[in-house]
Amino acid sequence: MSDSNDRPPRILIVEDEMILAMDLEQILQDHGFDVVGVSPSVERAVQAVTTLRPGAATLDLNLRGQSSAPVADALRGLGIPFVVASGYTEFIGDFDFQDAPFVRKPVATEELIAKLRQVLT
Amino acid sequence: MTDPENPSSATVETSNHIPICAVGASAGGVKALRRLFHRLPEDLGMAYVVIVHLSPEHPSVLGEILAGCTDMPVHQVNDTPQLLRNNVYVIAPDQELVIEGENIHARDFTQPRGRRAPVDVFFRSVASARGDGMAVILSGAGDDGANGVRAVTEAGGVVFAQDPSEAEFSAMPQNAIATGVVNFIAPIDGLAERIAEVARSKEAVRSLDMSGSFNDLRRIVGFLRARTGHDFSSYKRATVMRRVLRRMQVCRITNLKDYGEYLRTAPEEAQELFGDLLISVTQFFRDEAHFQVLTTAAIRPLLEDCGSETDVRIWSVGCATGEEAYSLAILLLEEAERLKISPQIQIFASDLDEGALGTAREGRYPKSIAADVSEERLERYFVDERTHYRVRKEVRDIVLFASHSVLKDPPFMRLDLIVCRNLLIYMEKALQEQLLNLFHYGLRPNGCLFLGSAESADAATQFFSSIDRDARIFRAKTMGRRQMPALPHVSTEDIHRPLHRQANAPVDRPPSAAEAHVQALESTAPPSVLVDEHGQILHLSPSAGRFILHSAGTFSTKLSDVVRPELRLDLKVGLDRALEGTLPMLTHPAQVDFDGTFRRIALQIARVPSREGSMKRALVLFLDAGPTLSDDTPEDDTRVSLSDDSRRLYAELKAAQEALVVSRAEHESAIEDLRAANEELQSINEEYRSTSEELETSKEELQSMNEELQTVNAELKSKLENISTAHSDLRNLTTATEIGTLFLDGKLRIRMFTPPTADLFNITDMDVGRNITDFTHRLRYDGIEREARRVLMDLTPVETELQSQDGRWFMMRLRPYRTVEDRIEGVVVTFIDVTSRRETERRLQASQQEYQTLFNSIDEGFGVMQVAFDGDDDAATDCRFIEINDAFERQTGLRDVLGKTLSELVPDLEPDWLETFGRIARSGTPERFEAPAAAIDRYYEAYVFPVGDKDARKVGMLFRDISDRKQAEAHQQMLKHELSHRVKNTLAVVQAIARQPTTKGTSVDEFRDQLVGRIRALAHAHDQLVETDWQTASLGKLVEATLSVYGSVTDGQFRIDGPEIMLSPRQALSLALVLHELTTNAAKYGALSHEKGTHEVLWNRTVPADARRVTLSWRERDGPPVDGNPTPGFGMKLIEQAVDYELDGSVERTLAPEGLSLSIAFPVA
Repeated sequence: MSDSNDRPPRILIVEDEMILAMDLEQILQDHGFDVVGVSPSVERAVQAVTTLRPGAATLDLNLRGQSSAPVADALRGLGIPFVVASGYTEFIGDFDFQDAPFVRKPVATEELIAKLRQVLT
Repeated sequence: MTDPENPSSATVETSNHIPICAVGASAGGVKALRRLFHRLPEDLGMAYVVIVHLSPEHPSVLGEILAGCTDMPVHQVNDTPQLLRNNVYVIAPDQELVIEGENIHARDFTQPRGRRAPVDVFFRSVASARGDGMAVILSGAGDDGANGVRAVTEAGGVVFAQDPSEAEFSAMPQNAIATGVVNFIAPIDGLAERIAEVARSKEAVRSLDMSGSFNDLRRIVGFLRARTGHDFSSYKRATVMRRVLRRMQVCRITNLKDYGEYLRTAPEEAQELFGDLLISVTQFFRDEAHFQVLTTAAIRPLLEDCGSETDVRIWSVGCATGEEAYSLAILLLEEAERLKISPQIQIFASDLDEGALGTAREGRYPKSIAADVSEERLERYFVDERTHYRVRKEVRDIVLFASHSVLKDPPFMRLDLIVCRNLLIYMEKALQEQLLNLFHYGLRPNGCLFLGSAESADAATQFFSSIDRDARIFRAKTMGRRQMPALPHVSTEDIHRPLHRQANAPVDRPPSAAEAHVQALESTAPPSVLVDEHGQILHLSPSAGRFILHSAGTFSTKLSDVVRPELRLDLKVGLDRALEGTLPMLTHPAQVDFDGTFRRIALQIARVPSREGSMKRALVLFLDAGPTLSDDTPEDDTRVSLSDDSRRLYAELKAAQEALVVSRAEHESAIEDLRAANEELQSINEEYRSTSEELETSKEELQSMNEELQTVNAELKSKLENISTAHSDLRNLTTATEIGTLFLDGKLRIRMFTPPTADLFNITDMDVGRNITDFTHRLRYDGIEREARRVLMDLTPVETELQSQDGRWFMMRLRPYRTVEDRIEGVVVTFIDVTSRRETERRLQASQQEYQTLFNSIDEGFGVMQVAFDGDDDAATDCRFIEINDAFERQTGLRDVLGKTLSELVPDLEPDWLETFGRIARSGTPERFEAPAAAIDRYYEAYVFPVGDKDARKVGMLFRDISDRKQAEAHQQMLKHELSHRVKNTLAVVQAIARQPTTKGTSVDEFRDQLVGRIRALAHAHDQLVETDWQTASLGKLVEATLSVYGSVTDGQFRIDGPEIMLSPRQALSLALVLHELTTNAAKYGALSHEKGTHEVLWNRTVPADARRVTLSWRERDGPPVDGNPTPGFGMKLIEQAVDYELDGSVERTLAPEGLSLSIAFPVA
């Protein structure tokens, strides 16, 4: 499933639910992505973004009760594309995710891969 | 030594004169005069003199008018005609009349116009010139005549006055009557009758036999002495007789005997006669020239001598009504002022007449005294009390009036001046001398005596020398200390003593040689008598006695009184002539009856030169011309030689001549009469013409006055109508308002009240004028009187509510009663029935209270707001709370809301609140809404509705704080989201778990069991969380629940221990999965798979390193042997991930041979 020509894209998973994070990691690895890190909190995610410099990220909107807006800002600041994956049916809060692709949880694997590929191109 | 045969000389005086009837009149007098003269008989024998007040500029026609009323001749007096009986004399304009002897004299006024009193002047002149006379006062204004009638009375005249009620102008008769001397008061007709009666009785009295009446007179005087204690016997008989005759005229008694009887029977007559005898007339500054002399000759030296130390003492004897005493006082004060000294002046003024003294002490005198007193004196010494003048107190103070008889009482002593005027003239000479002696005794050395104009001190030359003979001022001669002379009336003997002395004195004086000569003459010469200038007998020759015949009565030494009656007249005339001139005279022989033999006696009277010069004497010789020859008349004797023819012719000629004279006189008088009548008629015509003109003028005046009166009347009428309208308005007002009104005056007496008040105070119309405090009222209030008095004092209205006894309530108002002129004249009390108002008020209050209770007891907040707008179309700018209930503050948390505006209370309130209020206030449509009020952190459900009408711009708001509900709703919403999120998350977890790769060779069943176990573990964790409301989970319970799947926790296989630690839901879920993996692993491969295996789960807080970290240790023992170090499977990976990821903790795994040991450390809250 991976693109043999290129180096696999480096992906950061920002997800507080441990099992979902493990699931996503598995799914992405199965599709040939290089999962460079999994961050369960806003603090660790922002740190991971700056240190790991991933090619793209998946972003949960709510991290242990906190809004993940700072992470989104950090990502945007570095020009890193991301896909929002959330259990909420719509955006809540006041920060701007409108331009980001949105995947509803539970995640449909194909949809996620397609949107991730889309942001990477 | 009075000659009983000689009639009194006084009566001779009256009988010789024509009696005068003086008539005074003024305003309204012409009518009265005409009537009077119409009525008067023309044969009364009197001369009538009419005095009226005439205008000096206009000729008078009064004479002509009166001539038309009487047949008596009427003359206007312009010069000095002789008075004639039955003639009428009328005063001329600008002249006053006086009597001069037998004539009436017209002269210019002595007083300036305005102070003239011609009636007084003439009456006085009548009084002084005639002893008697009549004075008649008719209608007139003013008081002219009042002084005159006193003078007339004093002189013995009779006074008449017109009845004031009949007189057109009553003042003049009234003033005359007020003097008390008027004898008759009657209407004109009556007056005419009385005048006629008195005139006739005067005629009768005149013809009385005086000699016969002397005894009667003595009896009368004796009776008077017994009755009154005063002896008039030594008063001049003429005076006494004149007064008695006057009384007789007044009583219309014609002889003395009858009058004596009348005096005895009528007790008041004695007093009347006594009063008449005392009457004396005085006036201010009588004989003013004499007073001037008195001032310079006596008073001025007196004051100059005495300085201020000693006092000046003066005695006014017979002061009557005090004019003379006051005149003296004024002179003294004036003189003292001029000399600038202020001596003590004391004037004693004495009289017998108590009535006169009373008048004198009062010091009130009629206005007519202005004729006697100068204007300056009136100003300075009198107070003008309008109807009269009153002597000022300073003058009255120095005059002491005392009832004192100069004849009976001891005299005043140490006097500087005695004034005794017109008293001595009434007294016999002897008495005069006694009095003068007494005066001398009372006077200080060099003291002065001032007598009346007809008196002198000659009777006592040893005591007094004259200072000014004309003014009758004398000086007391200095003598050694003397004993007080006997008082004249203390004993009867004393009366005659001085007479004897005087009678003896000349007898002692002649030398003996002369006496011898006289005796020699006496033997040969005819009998003779020596008399002094007054006719008093000084000496009789031896044979002179037979010519003396003393009449009955008191003894007289006057020769003319005691000589035989036949000789008296001749003697009197002869003596007068001889004493006046120096020539001796011889009288015609008179027939004298010597006890039946008639002899002809002539008198030779010669003045004898006296040695003292001043004292004249006369010698009277009685010459006997022998017996009467026969009865033949002397005429016959002289004409006896003429022939009969001649005698007849003589007689005829004489008769013819007489007839001629008579007829000529008659003719002349007739012509005169006609001329007078003609003139009178012309004058009357003139008078009528002017009267007509006057009437015309009067008529015009009357018309204009009538018109004025009509105007005034119309005005009054309209005023009356106004008042009547006002009155009925007032009455209707009081009735209509049903307000009880009570008007009280300043002393709280009822003035007026309205029916409602009558019940409250139990008063009726009869009680007007009584004091309000006299009544018991029906009020439960006692302060009305007090309040009323306070209102009168403070003038501030009082208002109070009070209850009546029948339970009704009244509003009582007290206000001062102000007249239109703003005077306070009492209090107005009003009572307004306020019973129903009070009841309404009470109900309203109750209802309000109920409403308030309700209002305050509801839980919802309530407020009424006044909404303010900027303009008509603009939105509301603000609103103010005008009413709120208790719940308002509870519901809002605001304090002191009432009266404040919304912007003051909550400045940053959402603007839609105010918009809503404004909209509702405008539209009037209520609205119900929910809205937040973030500024006060609340959320409300509110119902806003308009209050009152739309223009009131008021809204009410009923509201409730629904913040809690809103919070719950938000929470629920949040929970819904959370649940959805969690369910999806859980499902995602389940999906992830299910997607986990399995160990190779795992069957579908095993996979299923594995999956179900993991899901159950999650379910257990959820159970724990649900128990604590998804808040916390107990670590111990979680461990127990996880392990209990594989056996009882208590059976010894397990050892579970640790303190109570609470986990967050996330920690609990993760730890549940971890424990599940460990347990399933132990059950498959570890201690739980072996019967003897034991299991230990212990946890504790990491002490002391960090109290907020927990270390949980998992230890398996005695399980099946552990083979090496197997690769960790998915389970272990899950554990590590979970500890790292979810618990932020660390895990340490030790696979010892005896079993697995695991230590997990993680932070807790």
